[in-house]
Amino acid sequence: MMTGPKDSLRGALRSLADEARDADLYGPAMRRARRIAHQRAAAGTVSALTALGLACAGLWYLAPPGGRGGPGRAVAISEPAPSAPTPGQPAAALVSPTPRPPVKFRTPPPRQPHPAHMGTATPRSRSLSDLPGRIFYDQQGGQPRVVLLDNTGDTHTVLTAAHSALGVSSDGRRIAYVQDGSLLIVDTDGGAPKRPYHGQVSDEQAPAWSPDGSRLLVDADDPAVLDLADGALEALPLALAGEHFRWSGDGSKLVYATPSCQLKVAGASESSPAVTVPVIGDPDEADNPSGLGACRPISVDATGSRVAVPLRRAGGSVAGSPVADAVANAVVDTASGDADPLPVSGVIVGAVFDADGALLVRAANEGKTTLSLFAPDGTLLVQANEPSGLRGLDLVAYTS
Amino acid sequence: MDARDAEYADFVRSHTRVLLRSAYLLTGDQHLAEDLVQEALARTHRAWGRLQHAEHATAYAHKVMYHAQVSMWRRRRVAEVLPGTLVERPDAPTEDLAEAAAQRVMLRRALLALSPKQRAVIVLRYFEDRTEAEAAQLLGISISTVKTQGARALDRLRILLPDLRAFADAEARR
Repeated sequence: MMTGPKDSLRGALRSLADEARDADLYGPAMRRARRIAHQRAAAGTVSALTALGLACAGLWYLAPPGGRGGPGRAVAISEPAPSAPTPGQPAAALVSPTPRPPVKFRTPPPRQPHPAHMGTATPRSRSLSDLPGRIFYDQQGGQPRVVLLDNTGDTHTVLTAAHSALGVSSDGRRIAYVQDGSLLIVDTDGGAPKRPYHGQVSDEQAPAWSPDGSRLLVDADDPAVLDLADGALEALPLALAGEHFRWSGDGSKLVYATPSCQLKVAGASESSPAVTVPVIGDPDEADNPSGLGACRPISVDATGSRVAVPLRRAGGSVAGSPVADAVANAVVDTASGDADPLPVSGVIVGAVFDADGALLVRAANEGKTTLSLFAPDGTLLVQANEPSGLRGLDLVAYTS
Repeated sequence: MDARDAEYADFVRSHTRVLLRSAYLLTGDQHLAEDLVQEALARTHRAWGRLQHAEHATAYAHKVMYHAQVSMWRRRRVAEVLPGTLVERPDAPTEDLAEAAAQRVMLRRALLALSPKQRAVIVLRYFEDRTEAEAAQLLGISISTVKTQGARALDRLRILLPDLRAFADAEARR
C-alpha cells in the first residue's frame, strides 16, 4: 500500500472513530474497580469450588501410551466457569455458558476420555507421613487464612491477616503478603509481621521469594527486586515487559507471563532477551491450534525447564472473572510448550514445585483429594489422601 | 471525594473520549467500546497509587485497554457487523451521506475481519500515529511482530477495501 492509501486509511479511521459517542464512564469504572477488588478476594474460594465441580464433571484426558512418563498418564485441564452477567455489561461480552469440550493438545494428540482405562504410576508410599516437606494452603473470603499441613496430617493456621497476594519462602519459614497495598512478612512460627518496604505494592504480582530468601520480587510502580537486607529496590530491566514473575528454584531464571497470556523465560541476572515458550499464548492458530494460553505462572522447577500454570483455552475467561488464575492445573515444558502428562487420577486442582524441582500435584477424584509428590526425575514418591478439612482452600506452596 | 479520587475523576473525564475512539475501532461497537474502556479505567484505578504522573496513568490505561482486547485468553469481544446508521448532516447531499455511511460500514467490516492483534496494530499505527516501537511496547510484542502483523493487515485491507481512496473522497464531501 502506497503513501496515498495509508493517508486515506488514516482519514477513514478518524471518520469511523467519530461514530463513537461520548460517555461518562467514571461511575461505571469505579463500580468495576470495586468489583475487581471484591472478586480478587473471592477468587481463591471460587476457583477451588469450580475445580471441584469440574472434578464431578470428569473433564480429563488420557495421553497416549508410551509417551513421556509411561502409559495412561492423565492430563486434566480445568475450564473456568462463565462469569455471571453484571449490570452494564453487554450480553455479547459474556462467555458462552455452553459447556466446552476438554482442551486438546497439539502434541501428543489426546484420546477420548475413558475413565476405566486411566492408568497411574505406583507410588513408593501411600502415607502422608512420608511427605518430607510442608504444604501451604490459602483461604480467601470472609475468613482469610494460610494453613500449613505437616507430614503428621496436622494443620496449623500460620496467617489470619487479610491478604490479597502472598508468597511462601523456599524454606517455608516466612510468608510475604500484600495487605491494602502494603508488603508484610511474617514468620510461620509466629510473631508480629514486619514491613520491609514502606511504599505501595500491587497485588497483581504475588511476592516472589528468591530461592535464598534474601530478596523479594514485588510490583512497586513496576516489577522490582527488593533486597531484604538493606531495603534497596532494583527495578527489573524494562525489556522484561510482563507480569507474575516467578524464580526458578536455583535462582537462575525468571518465568513470567505477558499480558497476552504467553509465557517467557529470562535469565535472572543477565540482560539477555527473554525466550518465549512456544505454542502457549500464540495467537496464530496454525501454531497453537488448541488455543492454549497461560496468563500466570504459579511455580517453576529448579532450572526453569518446567512451569506449573493455569492452562486455559482462548475465550475461556473474561478479564476480572472471579475464576482467576490462582491454581495451576498443568505443567508446561518451557522448551517445547507441551503440557507434561501427569500420572494422577482425576482433575488437577493444584500443582507446585519446591526449590529442588520436586512437584506436588493435588487432584480431585470421586469426592476425594489426593496429593502426589514427584521427584525431579518424575518418580512418584508419595501419593496420599489429603485431609478433608482442606477442601475449599487453594494449594499455594510446597517447601522441603 | 478525597484528592486522590478527585485526580482520578479528572483523569477519567479527560481521557475517556480518546480511549473510546480507539476502543470503538478495536471493537466496532459503542457498548463494547464502553465496556473495554471501563475495564481499562477500572484497572487504572486499581493501580492509581503507583501511577504518580498523569502520563504514566495515560500510558497504563492505553496498555491495559489494548492488552485486554488483544488477548484471546482474557476476552474476545467484537461487534456483529450491522448496517451503519446514517449520521444526520442536513447540509450535505443525501447521496453523499449514504455513500459515506456505506463506506464506514465497509471499513468497520474490514477491520473486524482482521485478527485482534492486526487490528490493534492498524489502530495504533494509523489512527493513534504511534511508532512501531511504541506499538510494540503497548502490545507487549516485538517490533518485528508489529511489522509483520501490520503488513499482513494492510494486505488484507487492500483486498477488502480496494477503493480506499473513494472512501476518503466520500468523507470529504460529507
